[in-house]
Amino acid sequence: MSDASRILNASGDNDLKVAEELLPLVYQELRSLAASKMAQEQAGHTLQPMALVHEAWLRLVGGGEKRFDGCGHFFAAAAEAMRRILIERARRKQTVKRGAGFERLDLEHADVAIHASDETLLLVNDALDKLAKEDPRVAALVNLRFFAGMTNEEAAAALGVSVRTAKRHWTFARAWLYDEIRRASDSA
Amino acid sequence: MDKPFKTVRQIFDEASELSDKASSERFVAEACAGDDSLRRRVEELLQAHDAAGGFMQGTLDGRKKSDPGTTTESIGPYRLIEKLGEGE
Repeated sequence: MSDASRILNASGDNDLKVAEELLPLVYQELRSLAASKMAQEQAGHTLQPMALVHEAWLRLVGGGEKRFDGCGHFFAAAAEAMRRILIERARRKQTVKRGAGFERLDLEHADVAIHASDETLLLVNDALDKLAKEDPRVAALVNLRFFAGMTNEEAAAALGVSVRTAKRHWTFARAWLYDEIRRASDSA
Repeated sequence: MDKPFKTVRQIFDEASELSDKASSERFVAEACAGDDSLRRRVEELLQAHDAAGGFMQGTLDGRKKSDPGTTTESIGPYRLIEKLGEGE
């Protein structure tokens, strides 16, 4: 049995511990998958987070079936890992570009993380940390949808909540984050 | 800004699901009666909700969209996610 399967099978007793144990495994797997994809593909290719997450799932857990319910821990860890990878990438690119002026803040095209400008991505990331302190469940949903690229239905199944509840979380999160980012960029 | 998060959330949830602006405003006024800063905070979020447009609204290329009426056409590096409105 793989490490990831062992950790997942032991779930139930301590949710937080499961997520903590899974994160480094999933992070490493996703990072190496992302790196090899970026190396293979032509320049300009964008990452497909959900495809990477599925590939990591197959490699780490080996489940052939595509299902999201009951695998919440895995997907939560994968979304958090994906977020870290995208944020690291954005920070690195910003360091390289430093001195060349800021990228414009473009919230309109920040539909999913991989389409967002680096500047926007980092602002969403900071705002999301604040939201997580107020409501961790809402922040978990944002991770799944924005950073892992899940649909509302997939994210709802991964979190074990109804589609309607997930939709409500999402509506609130979008407004809250949009307001927070506007505020942060106004005062900058 | 620092109004009790849960209260703000509850009022926002209900108000944002009301279909017309007038009943949403009426609901917020009633729910926040006597608490101006609570009301301001809820209104701020509702305004952000209206202004947010395509922010975080998309799913990825080649994947099923969760909202009806969306398209996957692209213009240069951008993709058209949904129709937000028409010019007058």
